[in-house]
Amino acid sequence: MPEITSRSTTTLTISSFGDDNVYDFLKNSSLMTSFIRQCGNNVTLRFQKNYVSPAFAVPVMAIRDELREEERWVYFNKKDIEHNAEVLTFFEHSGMHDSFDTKSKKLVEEEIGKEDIIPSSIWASKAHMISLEKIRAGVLSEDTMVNDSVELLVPLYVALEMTECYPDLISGIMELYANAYIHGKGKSIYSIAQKALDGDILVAIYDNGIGIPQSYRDYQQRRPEGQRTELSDSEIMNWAFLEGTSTKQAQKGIPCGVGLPSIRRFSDRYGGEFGIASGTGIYYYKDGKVKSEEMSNGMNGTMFMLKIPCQEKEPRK
Amino acid sequence: MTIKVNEVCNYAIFEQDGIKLREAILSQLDKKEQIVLDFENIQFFATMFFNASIGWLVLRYGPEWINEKISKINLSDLGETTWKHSFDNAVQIRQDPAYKEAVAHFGDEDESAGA
Repeated sequence: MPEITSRSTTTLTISSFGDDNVYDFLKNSSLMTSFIRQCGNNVTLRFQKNYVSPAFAVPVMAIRDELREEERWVYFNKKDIEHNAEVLTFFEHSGMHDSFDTKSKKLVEEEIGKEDIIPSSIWASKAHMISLEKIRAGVLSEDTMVNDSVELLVPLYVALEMTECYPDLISGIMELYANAYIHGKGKSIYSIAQKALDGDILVAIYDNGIGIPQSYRDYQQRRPEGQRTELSDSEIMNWAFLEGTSTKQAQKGIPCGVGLPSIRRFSDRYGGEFGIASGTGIYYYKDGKVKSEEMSNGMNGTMFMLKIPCQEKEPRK
Repeated sequence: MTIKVNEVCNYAIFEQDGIKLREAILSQLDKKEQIVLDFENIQFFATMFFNASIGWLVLRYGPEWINEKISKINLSDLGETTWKHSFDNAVQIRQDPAYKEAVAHFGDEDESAGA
């Protein structure tokens, strides 16, 4: 048994995380997870702003699990839950209330089902985790990823009658899961799907793998010295979305390099936008335009966020 | 000769299932009849599956061979789109002179994939 030592607690106040602006959300996720990793303490998250996007649960769940291995804990302040209906909704939708002390959990459980507490304009699946380690070990089948993503989106499907784009959405998510599974080498994938306040559908996915920039650099190391290319993290993100590029162009005769570009096509088809952050690179796409830059704080693993306007139920031709 | 894809796998998503479909196709080649892939009841698709099945065959035998030898039925619009992306990507890789050189440098590549 490891020796248990007490740690101090650092408080991190969340003042603007609730916005569902994809680009800012990814940057804030990177900043928050970087801070929590580096502070070396337990962390208490406090919420200043009323609305907390359920998508926030994805990076928090991922880092909570990571910190458990170091015997560090992520706490939420009970007063924020007691006095803030939107934060309460966040906990109910995120499925994270099991993480907290008995009193907080009881409070959340008492409030669940009270329709005046849960705003009707927010609907979210539970955040959930798929263990890639167990799939690789054969403990779970690969079909688990599909079944879990179907389960993830069924509530949205039922609530929003997303009949037209439902198979596309599952398939689009599976392209991301497949990338994380094959290239990411991570232990787990965390996901959540929600209908946001402004009516848009959001899907957030995080994998705790090595990240796209590191995967690219490992690939370059395998190449002959004269053929290696050095790129910044943001340049690597741009590279990853080019058709036909892959860190495994054709392994064992199987061509690669269509997964990430297909997500761009999916986004175009439904008038959506998406962003992806990995390492210090961030890539944001909407209506044929790309915005990519270097972040000051790196994102371990890869975080993805997709936003689809709910009113556009018919796919674009 | 018809191959029912839903008897090979539940979803057209994973690489291993794509390999199974490829092997099912290859096992029928000696019969010298056209192979029909029936995608009835297959709802979800990802490029990884088609890369491992059709993409591999494109690299090995070429796109014309695929078009002559294999036809598909009951494939949804989503499936058609995903198939096409994997197919076109494989054709591009096959035509790329850098591909053969790249294959030569990766020890785990199948030598015949460069043909």
